[in-house]
Amino acid sequence: MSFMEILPRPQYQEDSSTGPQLWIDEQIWGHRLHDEQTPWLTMLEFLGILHAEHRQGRALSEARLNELTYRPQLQLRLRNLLFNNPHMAVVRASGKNDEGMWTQWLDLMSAGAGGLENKDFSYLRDRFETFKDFDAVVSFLQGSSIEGGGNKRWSSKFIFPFGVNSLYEDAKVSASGGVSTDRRFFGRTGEILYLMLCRSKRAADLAARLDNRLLKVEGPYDKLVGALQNTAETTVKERAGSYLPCSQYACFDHLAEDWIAVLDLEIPAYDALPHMVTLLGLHILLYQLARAAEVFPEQRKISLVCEIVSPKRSNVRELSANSYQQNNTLPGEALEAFVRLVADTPEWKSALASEEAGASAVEVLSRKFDWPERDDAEKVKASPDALLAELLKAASKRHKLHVGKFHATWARLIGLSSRRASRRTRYAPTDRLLKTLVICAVDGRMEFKEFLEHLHQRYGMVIGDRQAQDFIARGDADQENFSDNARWLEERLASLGLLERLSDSCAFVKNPFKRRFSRECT
Amino acid sequence: MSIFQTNRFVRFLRNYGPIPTNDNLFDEVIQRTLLRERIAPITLPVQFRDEILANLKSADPVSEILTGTAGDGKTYCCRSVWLACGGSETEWNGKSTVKTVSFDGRELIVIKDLSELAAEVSAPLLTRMAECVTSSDATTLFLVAANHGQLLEKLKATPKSAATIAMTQAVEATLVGDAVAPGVRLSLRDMSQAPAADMIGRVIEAMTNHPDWAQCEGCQAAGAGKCPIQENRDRIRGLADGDLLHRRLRALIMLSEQNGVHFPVRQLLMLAANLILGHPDCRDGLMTCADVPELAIKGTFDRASVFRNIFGENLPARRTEKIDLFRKLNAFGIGSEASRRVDNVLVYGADDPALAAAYGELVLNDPIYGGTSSYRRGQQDYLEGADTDARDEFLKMLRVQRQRVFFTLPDDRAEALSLWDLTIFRSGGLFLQVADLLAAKKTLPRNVLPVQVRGLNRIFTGMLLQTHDDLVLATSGSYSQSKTSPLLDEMISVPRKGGQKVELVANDTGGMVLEVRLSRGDDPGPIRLPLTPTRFEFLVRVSDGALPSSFSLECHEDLLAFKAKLLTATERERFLAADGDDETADDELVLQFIELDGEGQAAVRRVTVRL
Repeated sequence: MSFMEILPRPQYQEDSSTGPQLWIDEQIWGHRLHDEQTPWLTMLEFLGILHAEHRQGRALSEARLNELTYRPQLQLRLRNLLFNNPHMAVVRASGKNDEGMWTQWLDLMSAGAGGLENKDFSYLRDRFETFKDFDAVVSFLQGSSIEGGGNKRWSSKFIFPFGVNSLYEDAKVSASGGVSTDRRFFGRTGEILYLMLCRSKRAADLAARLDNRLLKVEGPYDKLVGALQNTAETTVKERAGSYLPCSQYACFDHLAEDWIAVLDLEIPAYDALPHMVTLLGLHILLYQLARAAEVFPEQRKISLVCEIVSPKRSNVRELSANSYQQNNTLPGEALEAFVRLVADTPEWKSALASEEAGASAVEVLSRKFDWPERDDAEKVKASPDALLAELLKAASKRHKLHVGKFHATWARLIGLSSRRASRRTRYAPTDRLLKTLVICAVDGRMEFKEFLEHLHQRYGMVIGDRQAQDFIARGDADQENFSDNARWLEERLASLGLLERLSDSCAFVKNPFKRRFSRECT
Repeated sequence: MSIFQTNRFVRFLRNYGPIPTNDNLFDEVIQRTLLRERIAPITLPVQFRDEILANLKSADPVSEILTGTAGDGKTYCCRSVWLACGGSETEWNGKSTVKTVSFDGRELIVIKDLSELAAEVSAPLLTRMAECVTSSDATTLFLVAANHGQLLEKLKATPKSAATIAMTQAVEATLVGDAVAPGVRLSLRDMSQAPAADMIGRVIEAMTNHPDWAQCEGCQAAGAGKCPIQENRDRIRGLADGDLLHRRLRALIMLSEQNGVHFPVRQLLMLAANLILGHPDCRDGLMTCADVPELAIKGTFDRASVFRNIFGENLPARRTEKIDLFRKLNAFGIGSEASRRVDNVLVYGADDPALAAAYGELVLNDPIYGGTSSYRRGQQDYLEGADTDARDEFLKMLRVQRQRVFFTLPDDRAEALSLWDLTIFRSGGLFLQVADLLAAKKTLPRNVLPVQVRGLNRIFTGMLLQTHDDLVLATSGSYSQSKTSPLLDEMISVPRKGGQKVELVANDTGGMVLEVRLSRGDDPGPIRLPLTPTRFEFLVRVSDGALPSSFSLECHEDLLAFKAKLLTATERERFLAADGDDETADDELVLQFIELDGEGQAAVRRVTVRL
């Protein structure tokens, strides 16, 4: 295991015995990759942390590794207004005059609002001329919520990050009004993202851009949100316990570079955000695979064979489904292999040889994985092999709950995978993902062949025949299958207005947006 | 006198067609075959020849790069320039790719195909060329022919120097239509920009009026019928239909070109040869003189239908898909798309007295490819409830008939029978009509612009607006991709009003752009949306409220990008109008919500929020 960098578990967690019982997935990937947190929610958690840390003057800088603590905003009044406010339609239909509507609504809110000590919303009367105006604004803001379609609890619904006023933490509000952090939808993947970017080589450059383009801007809609919230609310307690196991990693740098490339485009920050969300999704997904591959001594290089969906099926579909399948099971295999590696260590061998084999084995496992409890009498009595088997089973079971689903869920969410026209899921990028990749990678214009190569080098994507040489050499596919695949991509990009074809042999991928500075690295 | 003759020219023509090894399409090989077979060459006008010669012989000549897609006729053009500069035919036909000729005290170095040269040969040549084009010396000139891709590849493989970098940048810039830095004495001509819609007529004319057709005289290979090769030749000559087939074909090519799809000359030659010779039952799907007696015996002349040959249906589907030319033409969906009115005539015309006249005109009057006995039999079986096989067979025949009708329906019946419904571009005919009217600076039909504006409004707002007197520029407040945009940014008047105006104007390639003006001055200047046939069609369909998914993706993004441009311009406009001051009060925010009134017209509701 010495080949992988694994930072020690944070003191905070060991001292207060909070945090997970088993510490295995975390050593490989951090605390934690959570499949129920979508890339958008990860972005929102990240922005909340960024804003909190920015107020402390330390945005994207970590004084000591894995000791991040922060106090995000809560904005419960805003949340109540937008997502815990079923009264608008009732009041509107009441046929009362303006005064009557306000009174009725304020009464309903003071009875129904959750998680607030002061349920008086009367400040809103001064802000709007009529109740109807207020109503129009509320439904407008409801319409700009993030992934608002689902039936999530109201305290886990989020509005588009117009600016700092719109940022708040996911929370649980009980029926009695108690507010707690159960990390149901902010499952710390945003913390992982934050730490990744802190540890990227271009953290400072990125922090400056995020400040200029997202935090500093006082846009009209953010002011509007601020007017609804009245004054900002911040959590009382510091949030702590975040953990990322490596102090540096190529994909941290890639992600920071890609974000900078998007932030440098001359497009509104609003429009940059969706692309940044897609990119964070892609890079965190690749991070999971790359770390998993590290567990294996032969260090497989990660590749994503992508089928470009076309009217004609070819065996690229088959290969991309295989590639997906392989990557999808890789983290689980890595976890098992990671646990088994302990059996090869001198500590384990000497534990087996020792007189009190059971107790020594418990000691070794506990040191490495925080499992089992050192004073667990039953475990001490068990044979070391049985103990290891039990650990494997427990670890694997836990892995399958969330971390093991991460690749499948996120690949779908960022438009990387699809089951369209097939029973098997495969990598088949959507137009939206392709567009993000183009505007991120291309400065002005780039030859199509170069673009394919760039996607391969940076993201491991295999699309054209040049990138698929391994498969072709092995006889798994013909040159033609992949050159057709590349041609479909060419046609897709052309139809998206992102490609100009000069002839059969030559095409340029075009970025429709100008960049302030050219990309320094590719 | 032999009654079966073999026409050398027909055999030669086959080589232009979609045969697996169409070597003949390379200029070099053509010349040799023509000499050997003593056939007069098919001569076509040489694009750019006169311009290039004028430049080379001018007081201040620059070097020339001739680029384009494979088959655009680059070598043909180089050869023609070479001969005109005093080069000899023999030397041209020699092995070397690089040739030098002197004239008027100048030296012209011709590279007839850059791709033939290995990198170690091309690199020093291109380096020398870069030095010449970046210096003021005009005594050494280059004429280089290369495909786009090869050109860039070879330039990249050339050692970097100030001169080669300058030349590479100039080439790249010209290729994508950017301005070229001064000081590079180079002209780059892109043969793929030539209008193929004009060229197809010349290709057909040169091919069908070739003197060697005279060899067919007296041939009786077809027996009692007419030789299908001659039949097809006559059909595309347009002697009987007043050029109708040719005009419809030209319309398809024009629409393709307006959509940015190019047809090189080589593909037009292939098309013309296939039109004449196509027959699915012959080797390679192309007839020879020797096939004709056999086809006569089998009675399958009708399967040589020139109308299906247009779409390569004389070839196996697998092959047709692989051939670029046919992929482009099949993109119109002619044969699969149905016009209800045309189908009525084709299916029920024989029985329904109300349709009898149309049936006679559209079907029976073409006994060769239209109302053949096999078609009439199939139709009868179909109507009488035939089994599945017979029904499928008839539907196949119906497909061929639709193809034929598209090319034969007289202009004066086109509207009544919804001619363009036979293609996926139902507004294709309207698009071409509008393009012609714009080019001639004539008034458009009244409904054209309103339909486009209504389509745009629906895309811009995400609401089912009827408004068409104003362009309703809306935002979502957040990102541009969101589905609805309830906030009004600005209403832009369509008729001229206070400097605002929305109109359709001709562009310089025979197409059109939608132009939006916000003010009288040049800041912000007009914002333009090139209206390709695809976008035009998309907006018509959105405006009608029906949208096939095949169109939705590719245009939607383009139109959102156009909206983003408009939003930037209105912001600029307001900034200038406020004279640089930010007029809005800091403690107040005004939102303008778009609401639909009873008629579906956009109305505005202003909401003020005190901050």
